[in-house]
Amino acid sequence: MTAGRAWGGGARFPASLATPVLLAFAVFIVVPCALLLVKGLEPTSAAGDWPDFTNVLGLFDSKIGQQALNRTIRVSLIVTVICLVAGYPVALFIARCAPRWRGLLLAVVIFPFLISAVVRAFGWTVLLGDSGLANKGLIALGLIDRPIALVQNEIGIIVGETHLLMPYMILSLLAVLQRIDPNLRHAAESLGASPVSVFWRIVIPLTLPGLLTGTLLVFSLAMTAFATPFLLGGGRTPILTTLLYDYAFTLFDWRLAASIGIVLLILGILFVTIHRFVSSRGMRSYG
Amino acid sequence: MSDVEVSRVSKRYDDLWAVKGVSFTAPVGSFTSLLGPSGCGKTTTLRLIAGFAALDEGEVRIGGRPVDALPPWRRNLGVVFQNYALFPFMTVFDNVAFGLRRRKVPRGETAERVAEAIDLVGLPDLAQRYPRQLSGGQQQRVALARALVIRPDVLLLDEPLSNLDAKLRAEMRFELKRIQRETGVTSIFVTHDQEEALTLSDQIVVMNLGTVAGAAPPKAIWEQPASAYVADFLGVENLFPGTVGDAARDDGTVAVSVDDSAAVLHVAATRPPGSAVVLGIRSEEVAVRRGGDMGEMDDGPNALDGTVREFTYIGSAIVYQVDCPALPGPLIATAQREFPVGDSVRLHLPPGAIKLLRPDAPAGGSGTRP
Repeated sequence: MTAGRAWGGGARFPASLATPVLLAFAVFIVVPCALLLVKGLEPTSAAGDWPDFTNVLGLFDSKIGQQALNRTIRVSLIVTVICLVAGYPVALFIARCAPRWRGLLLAVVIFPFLISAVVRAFGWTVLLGDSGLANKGLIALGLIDRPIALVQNEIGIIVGETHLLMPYMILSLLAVLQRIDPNLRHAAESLGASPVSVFWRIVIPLTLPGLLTGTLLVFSLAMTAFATPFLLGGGRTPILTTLLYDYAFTLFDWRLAASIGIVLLILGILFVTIHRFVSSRGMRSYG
Repeated sequence: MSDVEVSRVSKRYDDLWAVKGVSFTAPVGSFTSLLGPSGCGKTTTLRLIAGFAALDEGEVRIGGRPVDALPPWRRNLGVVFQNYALFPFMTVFDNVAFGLRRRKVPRGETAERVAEAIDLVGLPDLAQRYPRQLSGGQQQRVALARALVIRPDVLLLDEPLSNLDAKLRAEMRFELKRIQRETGVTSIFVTHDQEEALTLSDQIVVMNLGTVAGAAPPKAIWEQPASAYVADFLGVENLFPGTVGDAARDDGTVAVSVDDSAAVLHVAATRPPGSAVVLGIRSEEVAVRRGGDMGEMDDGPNALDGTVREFTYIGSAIVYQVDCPALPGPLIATAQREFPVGDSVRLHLPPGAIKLLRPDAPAGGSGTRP
């Protein structure tokens, strides 16, 4: 905040430099959203008036629409929780590493970003297939007798999206973990807090901002991911984005596709609103 | 309340000894300062006592009990940090209550003791505020209350006053002294400020390059520093290496020749002939008179002629830098009278005011190689 003011304070050029991008963003957000609403709420019969919610509401009546909606929310939540629970220890470890190792580990975390989601999805298809490494390993360990379906279903989507989104969580957490004053931990220890107590009472509250950013990023990206669920989920496990694709490019029903778009938009706004509410309550003391 | 015995404690970081063979004892209820420049190992020593770092050699005993096997959360020590280290997401009340809650103190008693501690450190009613809403001085008091409320065996203070402005620092010095007297808690205080150490302490441990250069009560260390390094750190401005000349004279003084110069100074002390010493004298002990001014008294020994090279006005006096041809370097002297730059002056160094100090090994860098 202070930095922003120091930068802004009377200097006009940063504002004028920011204008083109801000303007483009505004145009590219407002216009598509308007088009989405126009198309999605288009009347179904020739006699109907414009805001016609039949399509949007009809989505929840159809079995496939209902399933896709539930699966989208379920998968996004599971992926967010896995990223949080599995990513936190990684971030904690990297933050406590000596600086020279930190850079290396950070590169390892960011590395997946360098490979396209499509290539990664194909990789997972191979690894998770019936004769893939995962099934062979589980059979070798004697945990299963014959291959189980790990891909072309929800498991495939969850694995792929977790891999895709884990770096966002780790980087968000790392940003706040690295800023924690080590004296706070020492202060808590000197006052009688064991390491477990220090973690829950000091480290977790101090990383709350990063934790909230990470969950917001991962959840919204999981909900809107397309390539990964499309390639790893297969045709029988549609989520909202893949269903939208089907309607638009298989059935060429743009009205129905737009109505899914509206549902996704509402879900997104809902999540951000809940998130903002939780953040503002949880971070009241951060100022 | 407990005493603290630090015996031959060493700590190594990679191949550098941050602390090497440090020993001192802080008696029950005393106030001990660890004084030294940055990198001298004073903060490391404090961290070893607190248990934030593991020592490589030696032993720390608190109340006669070795604590090296105890993690910090079982040592029952109060620690105040230079940056206060208050928990930013907790109110003042929750910050102070933190240690009591970890000790499962009942609710009612917690509230009572927190109120008591807040009162002790002279904080107004700010219990529901957050640290960022407080001034530096108030945060400092909260940090003190948080450390004291657990009734620690020992209070460790790591440069707690260095982030405050001069006026507040002077005020907090009195406050610290009052609080320490009222609680009677054994305190170990890390500082680089000789004035803080002198005003607060029962005992000053001067540290240099990870070792103890001298330990004594403030008056003793001020009047008779253990070595040239200690004298330098306690503000003895004029230090010249010298060699003791012939045997003691009748008036109880020895003649000491200043190395690399023709000057011979008489000093009220006894040392065997040929001893290598460092002559030290504080600027305010040097008398400054106009050059060629014969005055009413006989010059006696230790009169030197010089020229004013530079002066600074410090309010209560004027500090002069005087070039003396007889000495290897300029002499610092304090006087009330004004002498312009270039003026000839006559300096008199009373034999009783000159200290003969033990020379130190030449200092270089921070820490010593093993």
